[in-house]
Amino acid sequence: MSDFDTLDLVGVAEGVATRRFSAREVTQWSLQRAATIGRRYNAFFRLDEEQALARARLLDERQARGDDLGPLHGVPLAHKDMFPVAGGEMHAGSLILKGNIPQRTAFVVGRLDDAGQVNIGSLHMAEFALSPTGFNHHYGSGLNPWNPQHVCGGSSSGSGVAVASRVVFGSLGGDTAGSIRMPAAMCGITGLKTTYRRMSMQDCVPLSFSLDSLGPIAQSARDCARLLTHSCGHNPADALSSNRAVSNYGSLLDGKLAGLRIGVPDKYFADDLDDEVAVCLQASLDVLAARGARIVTVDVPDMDSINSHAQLVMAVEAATLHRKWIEATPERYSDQVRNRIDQGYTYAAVRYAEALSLRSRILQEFLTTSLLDCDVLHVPTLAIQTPTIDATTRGNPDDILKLIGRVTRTTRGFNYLGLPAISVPAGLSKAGLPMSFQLVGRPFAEGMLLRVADAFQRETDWHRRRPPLDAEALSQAKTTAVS
Amino acid sequence: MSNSPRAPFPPLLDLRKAGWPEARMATAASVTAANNRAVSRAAEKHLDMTDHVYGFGHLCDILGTRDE
Repeated sequence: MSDFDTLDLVGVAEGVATRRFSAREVTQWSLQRAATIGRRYNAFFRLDEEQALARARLLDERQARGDDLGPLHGVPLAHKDMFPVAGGEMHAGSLILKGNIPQRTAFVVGRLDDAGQVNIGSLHMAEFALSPTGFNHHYGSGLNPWNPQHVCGGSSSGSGVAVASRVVFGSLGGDTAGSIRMPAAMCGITGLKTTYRRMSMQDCVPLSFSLDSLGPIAQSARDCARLLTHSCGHNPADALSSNRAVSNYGSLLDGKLAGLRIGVPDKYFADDLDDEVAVCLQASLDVLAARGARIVTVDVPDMDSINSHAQLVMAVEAATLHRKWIEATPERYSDQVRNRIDQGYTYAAVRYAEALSLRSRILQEFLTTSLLDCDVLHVPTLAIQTPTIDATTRGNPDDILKLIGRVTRTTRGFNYLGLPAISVPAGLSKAGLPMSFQLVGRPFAEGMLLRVADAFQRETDWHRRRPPLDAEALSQAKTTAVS
Repeated sequence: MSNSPRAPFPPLLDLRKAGWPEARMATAASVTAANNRAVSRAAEKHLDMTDHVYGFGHLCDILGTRDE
């Protein structure tokens, strides 16, 4: 079989399980694609060719013996370089951790191993996860497969690029202000940020321990459901990981929306909204309504204020985590990242304590104001058009800072609130770049979000659209990047 | 007790000494000031003495993550 790029994650798992093709065949295809397309678009930091092929061979042998197969048996995946794999270099997009070889595999990656994944390598990310665009001064920007002149989104940039360009069939990412949802939105795939501590962060590289969440990135909600089911769960060694039972999220996807209420906020999210994005959002609501959902208008609390709380908490916690390194070897940070971390040292301790103390009160207010009369909120993931790499890296630093602030304006607040949120592809702009919407749910409503997203994807094919991977555009983008 | 206003909390890091140019310091200061103002206002509006005590635990209760 040669057309693996027409399959999704669930399709590949079924193909291996029914012996239409072997784990080795699909892994070889994935590795070959990673070495060509993946490298060209800067999706990978590390490719584990030998280990991946050995793993695929082992899985094929188990299947031949008649062993029980895991739900991800033989599926090639790769994860953001913040997830350690024992024996493989992990540097989180930094120079400081270059050469770091973890002794232990992250809990969530171990769960995917148990389910039968073939992990083919580690994926590009922004330096220490500090960029929503996919910029990395040390290793170059991730390139958007729809148009490499434009940013691919970050900080889980490699996850967005590798899944969208059909190199791997799914990926785990991390999200502190939009780092799963942004690459998913900009690359035209599906990305779910889970409820705070739904997935164990053990051994993962943190950015802001009060805001960090993990989650799956894949072509569809159905794929994300399978990844989530087999990566989350209570970790007894991680006191903060949730001990709430894990659903079989795939079994909740029934395509039915009758009686469900979808809330559209009456303010904030419509501000700074691009015209094409507005049309796309309305069209997605029409699809959901046609499937039986009721669209209701809801109030939202002061989101600007919530974003400020999130920014302050993230700045202080990032500064805390990086203090030793930034004092000892500041020159090993890029200017952009060092500036953002330095800012954290200028906040008073009292303000930080207040921002954290307010969190439960503000979450309660949000739940009773915005999510009382509806089941999920429908808002943009990215309210503006996907910017170019040039616009986010060159020119007046003030303008760049403002543009980057606009990118995360609609995602950041939900990390402060700890709520789950999913980005769903919903259109292509006139410029040929993906547009999307975001659904936000109550704590632990991942199943509800996946169900609504899946119902939308049963009616539309935006998540199945493949990027052009245009060689000429890629060559132009690389010329611009070095000029 | 004196009623005279207190000086602002001193920053931990002097950005000028850390080598920041004036323009970047001004931008950073405007972001910091806006964030400080938002948190300060919300704290005045919402926080009572006991809310500090329940900060993280209360959040976990609402999220349903606390192991009883």
